[in-house]
Amino acid sequence: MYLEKIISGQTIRLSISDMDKVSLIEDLTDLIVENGKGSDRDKIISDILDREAKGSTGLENGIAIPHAKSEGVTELVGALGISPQGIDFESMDGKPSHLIFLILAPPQETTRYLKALSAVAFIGKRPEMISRLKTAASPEEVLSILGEAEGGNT
Amino acid sequence: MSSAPLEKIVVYVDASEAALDAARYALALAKAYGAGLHAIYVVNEKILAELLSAKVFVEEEEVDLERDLEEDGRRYLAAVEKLAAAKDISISTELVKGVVHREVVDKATQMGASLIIIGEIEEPMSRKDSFFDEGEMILRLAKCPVLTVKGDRLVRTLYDSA
Repeated sequence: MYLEKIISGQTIRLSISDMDKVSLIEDLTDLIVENGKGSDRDKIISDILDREAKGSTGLENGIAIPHAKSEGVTELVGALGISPQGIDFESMDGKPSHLIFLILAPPQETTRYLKALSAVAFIGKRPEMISRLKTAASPEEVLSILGEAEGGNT
Repeated sequence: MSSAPLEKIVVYVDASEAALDAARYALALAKAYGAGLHAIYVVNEKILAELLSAKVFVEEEEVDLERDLEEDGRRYLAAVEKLAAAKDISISTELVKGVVHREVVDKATQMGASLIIIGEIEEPMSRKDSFFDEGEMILRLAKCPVLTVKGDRLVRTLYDSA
């Protein structure tokens, strides 16, 4: 329910392949900026990469959650990249990442930022949901699955 | 008006506009009933620990975000104190760390509060949220009545007329 408010159909990229970690972060940032959710592309990318430098956000189970608080955005916003074949996100289990959730918040949005990250981390613990998202055919289907994952249709 | 029905009110303040509306309502009620008013903000250590445990955060980041939450708390409690001062209403405030609902409920119980006031409970952000929203947990576990405040225009009118 709530992730659907910060990740829209316009900030979902399907069928990603042959992209490295930095290129993907840049691509997802472009989606956010092109859709009017971010004002400073370079600042956003710099903030995300600063965070990645402290430790990769490539988790287990094929999920990655690059994230940052950034003055380059004015509201809590997210993008989702889906790669059925997986990309190297320097994940902690060494396996390819299939779902890359980019979560950004302005500096003053701490509480909702934490809730958004917690919601994504919770999805990451549900292998069946990850599997369905990996093979979703359209942004609409992705949003529908996210709605189920978050309890909208239960 | 007698102070008997409401002697002590605890208002839970998080970093949201809804919490400030809860505070406005609490201030109006405290003035009308002559009740003592205590505002509490809780640094949510549980969610920070969960995100660290899930490896979403590195330790340095957790420390930074805990500091950000503390700053949010100080800022919002200061805003509540300002609202109280504008109406010449006495209020005590407190910033604590821990599990949010537990801290709020324990404080209210310890003070012998006759009412807890909280802001509007947001639409769940996740399935987990719908099972474990801090506001809902306060509603479930409180030993006294809990009032959730909705309708910002009505609340602001009430506060303005206090």
